[in-house]
Amino acid sequence: MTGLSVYGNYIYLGSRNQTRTYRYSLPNITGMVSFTYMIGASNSCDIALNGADNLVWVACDSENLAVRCYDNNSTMVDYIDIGIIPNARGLAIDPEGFLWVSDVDADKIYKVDLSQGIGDSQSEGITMGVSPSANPFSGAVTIQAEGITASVTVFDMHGRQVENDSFQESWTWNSAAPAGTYVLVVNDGNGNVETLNLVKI
Amino acid sequence: MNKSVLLLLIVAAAAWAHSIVSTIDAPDTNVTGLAWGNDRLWAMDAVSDYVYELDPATGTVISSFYFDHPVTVVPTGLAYSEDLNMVYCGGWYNTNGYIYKYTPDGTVTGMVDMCGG
Repeated sequence: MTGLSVYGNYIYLGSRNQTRTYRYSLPNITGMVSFTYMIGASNSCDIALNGADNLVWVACDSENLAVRCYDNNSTMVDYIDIGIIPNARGLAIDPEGFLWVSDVDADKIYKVDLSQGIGDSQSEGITMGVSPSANPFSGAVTIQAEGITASVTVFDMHGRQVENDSFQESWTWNSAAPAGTYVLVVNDGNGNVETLNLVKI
Repeated sequence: MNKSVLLLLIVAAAAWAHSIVSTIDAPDTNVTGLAWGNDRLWAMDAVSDYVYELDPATGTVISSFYFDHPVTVVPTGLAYSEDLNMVYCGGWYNTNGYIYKYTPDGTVTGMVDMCGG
């Protein structure tokens, strides 16, 4: 157990060993109910519950998707990558809906606006100029970034890693993955991370 | 464009674009638990074993208490119940989890063994 959050009359517990969250009744912490399965969040830390929307945010150490959000159908519906917050551990949500995240590398606590957009992709550090040949795409898609050597990882909507490869200026994803939305993370290992939301049709 | 493609595009455009709107200094060097309670941010440190009550606007420490636990237990995960006025400190050891109950002034009122839950 590595995460805790209270909402209303319940306390929610994040289990790193079981990759799940459970709900217990307060004040006695009894009556366990399985809440959601945090698929792909293998290194989960603290959790924060958005009770109004039944969403669980979870911090994950040593993962490209540093903070993930799951609905109670166990689908990853949102994320914050390590380019934004490199080493997330503690999480809380305030009454206005802001997410608070502690970063043990920088010894900072960040207030994150979950509604404010900075575009369809996120990047931190040097802009790597990662772009797809087509989006949406069918069949294969080629990702390009001039002069960039990096790793590339693709996650599905459940937060599962479906690809992991090296990237040298371009990389072609030609998989049998079903149609859907995927998160592609390009990480050069020097603090520069760029993500794309890819739609396969 | 069919409906399923349109739905995928809406999902892709709507999600995953966030920004940091403010930053405060952490009160310690290994904050592994955060909670919100009574207009304050609460932070728990896994090395010093302290729980801090913070002014969320400035990061100023308003109060703190020592989270007393067995040396094998790693502090991780923090929660606050405004209804019960209670701070819940999480501890992790091997496959087991423990929840320690504290009042906001640092008085321990009990511990629950979560048996790996």
